[in-house]
Amino acid sequence: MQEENNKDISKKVLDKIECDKICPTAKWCFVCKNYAFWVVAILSGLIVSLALSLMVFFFMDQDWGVYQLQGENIASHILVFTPYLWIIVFLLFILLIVYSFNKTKEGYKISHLKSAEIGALIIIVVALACVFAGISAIIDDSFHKRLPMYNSVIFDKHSTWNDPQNGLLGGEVTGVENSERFFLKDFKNKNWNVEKENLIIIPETFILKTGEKIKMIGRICNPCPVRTFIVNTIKPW
Amino acid sequence: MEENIIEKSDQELVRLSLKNKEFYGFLIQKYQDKLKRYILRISGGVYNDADDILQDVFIKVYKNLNDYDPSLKFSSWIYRITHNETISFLRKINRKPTTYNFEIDAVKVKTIEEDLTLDQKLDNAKVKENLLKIISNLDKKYQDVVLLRYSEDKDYQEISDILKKPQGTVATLLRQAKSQLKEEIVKNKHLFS
Repeated sequence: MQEENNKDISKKVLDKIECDKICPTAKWCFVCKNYAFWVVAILSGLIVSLALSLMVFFFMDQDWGVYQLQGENIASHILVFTPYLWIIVFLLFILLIVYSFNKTKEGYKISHLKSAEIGALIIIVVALACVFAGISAIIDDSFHKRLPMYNSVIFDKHSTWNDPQNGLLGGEVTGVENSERFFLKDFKNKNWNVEKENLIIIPETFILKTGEKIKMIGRICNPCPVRTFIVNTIKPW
Repeated sequence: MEENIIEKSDQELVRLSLKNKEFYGFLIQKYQDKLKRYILRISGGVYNDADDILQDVFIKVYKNLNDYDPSLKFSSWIYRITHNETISFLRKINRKPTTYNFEIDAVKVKTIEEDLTLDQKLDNAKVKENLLKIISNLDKKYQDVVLLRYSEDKDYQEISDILKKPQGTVATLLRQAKSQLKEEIVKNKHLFS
């Protein structure tokens, strides 16, 4: 009876295979699928690294000393410049890494702790490499220039240094007249005469020359016949 | 032909089945009883649907034969598909088995005795019954591994491949399950003497 039943199931399955013309799926489909999950996991890892590098870049690139000049306190300053977009991207792609890694054929064989440790190490190393190679700065800059939406979700450092009323001005040096005076075009394309007063340059080794992007702390000269900024601190951009 | 085929390994049968589907019948015959029992155990006993699930399992296995990785045991791979198909089926009918269907005779009491290093023997029917009650009260996450270890007689590597969990996780789950089992057995010593 049992044997009959066994034969019955075997026959039923073989008949169904025959009847529905079922064929084994080609091997390359499974190989591609597995590779696809690896590719998604690796690409997500790269995106997570970039997001992390941009977060690190934001913290390192912040002008921690100037928020007081704009009448802010540290908490509100942090709330404003925190790169929420990159934090969300970071978290979403972490989930995608976990999902696609678990979907690979080999993923389950490595313990969760070990894969998390190895993954975190690779992500941190790549992120720091991106920060120190300047890749994060380039990405941030090009997003600010090319994506108008980006400016509304990510704090733009340019806006901090476009505030001459509060003594903060940044831009590109367009000419150096003498040791006391130079010219600058700010980020809104306005031209300024800049005059030095008890000047501190940070770092001291920085040499001011045409084409250099800088940020300055000082005050607007009032009254002066032309648009003039009196500077007492200069830093490279 | 049938006598020669019986001697062939699962890997060889897979290779032959890919060339000629008639060979697949031998794989079905080899695994159908074990898999049907496994379906009944993990589903909590869906007696009316077990054959349908089993049929779907074999069709799925056939479609995915090229996905079989010979570095795994074929039995682990086919158990994994069976496990997933059964869980999908239960989900489809909105049924969640709260406990697995352990049968007294299927539980490898000897393995439990060895694994738990117990003083007392768990060999009479009443004692076995009490043991099953304790196993059935374990958390679901422990029941998965306990069933594969003590009913299906699978080792850690096989359980890891079937449940797609790292071996370390399987070992941890089994250790915790064993410690709970031992604790309960010691606490209810009178039931096991």
